Amino acid sequence: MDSDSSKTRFLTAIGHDMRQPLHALLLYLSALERRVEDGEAREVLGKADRAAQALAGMIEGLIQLARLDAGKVEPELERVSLKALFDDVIASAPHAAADATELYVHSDPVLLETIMQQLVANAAKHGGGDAHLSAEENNGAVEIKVRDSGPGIAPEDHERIFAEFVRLEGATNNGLGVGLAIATKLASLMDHKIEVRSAPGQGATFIVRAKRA
Amino acid sequence: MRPLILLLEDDFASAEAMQLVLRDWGADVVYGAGADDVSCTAGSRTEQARVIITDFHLAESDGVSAARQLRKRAPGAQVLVLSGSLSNDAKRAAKGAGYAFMQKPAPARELIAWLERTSMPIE
Repeated sequence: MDSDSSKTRFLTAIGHDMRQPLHALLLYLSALERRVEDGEAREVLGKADRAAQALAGMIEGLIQLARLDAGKVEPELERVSLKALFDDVIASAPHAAADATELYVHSDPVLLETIMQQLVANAAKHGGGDAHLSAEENNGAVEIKVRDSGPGIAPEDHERIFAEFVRLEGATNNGLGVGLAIATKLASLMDHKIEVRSAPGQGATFIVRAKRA
Repeated sequence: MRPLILLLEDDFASAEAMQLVLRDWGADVVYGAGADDVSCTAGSRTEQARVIITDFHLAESDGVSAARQLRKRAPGAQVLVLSGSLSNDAKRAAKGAGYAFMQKPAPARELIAWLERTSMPIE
């Protein structure tokens, strides 16, 4: 077994086995926080909860990368309503909003939702918190956009932010830097393209280009 | 009256922690490792269930099939499927059935937010 496949199997096994106890841990911490009246103790529990969530997010990222690298993700393409997609993404992301759209794309609804969740999460971490979703036709394709009002990205970083484990200088969150790499790999599986348009001080717009359906 | 939630989960720690969170929110919870288990425990109250929360990988069936079985007796219940599986099969199955889906680990605030959105306010 080469080192890459060994790493993939290791991460997959660790990730799978850790999800269930992490799930219980997050719920126990929340229940405990409600039962503690001392303010200082509640503050400590809140920190423990945030640390556990950060750990869960990192494990999730590693699992997804490992599955993609092992070729375990197979898209099932169909006609996908962007209205339904936006509704699902916003339901789990209170900081996100979306324009109305009647467009459809040829994609995998589950994988496309994962891409959008990664882009919205990226906006929350690095883009000032808010995320605005929209879609428009462009030369027979559909451009699905996630816009944030964060500090923006310098042109020399536009390409490398999509690589694995890249965190830009000055990033203050404790992520691994894999979210955009996951989104890019998923997009590639479905012949979609991802790019960013941004300049320092002007926010960023991530664009997923997919075939119209 | 506290809204009734039917909880299907065969991992003891997850089930116990979930019950704490759901009861803190204000729900009455009937828990079991499968649809028959829950249905037997809830008895005639099964019909009153407002919400069914189920793990996808149960010992006796998958969570979507178990929820379908319970909804024959509680047709108005909203369904949330949870899964810690690595594949996307659970999410596809849940979406195909028109049920909500969350990946484990699911933070309590996301579970509560879903409950607030989908179920009626507590009376």
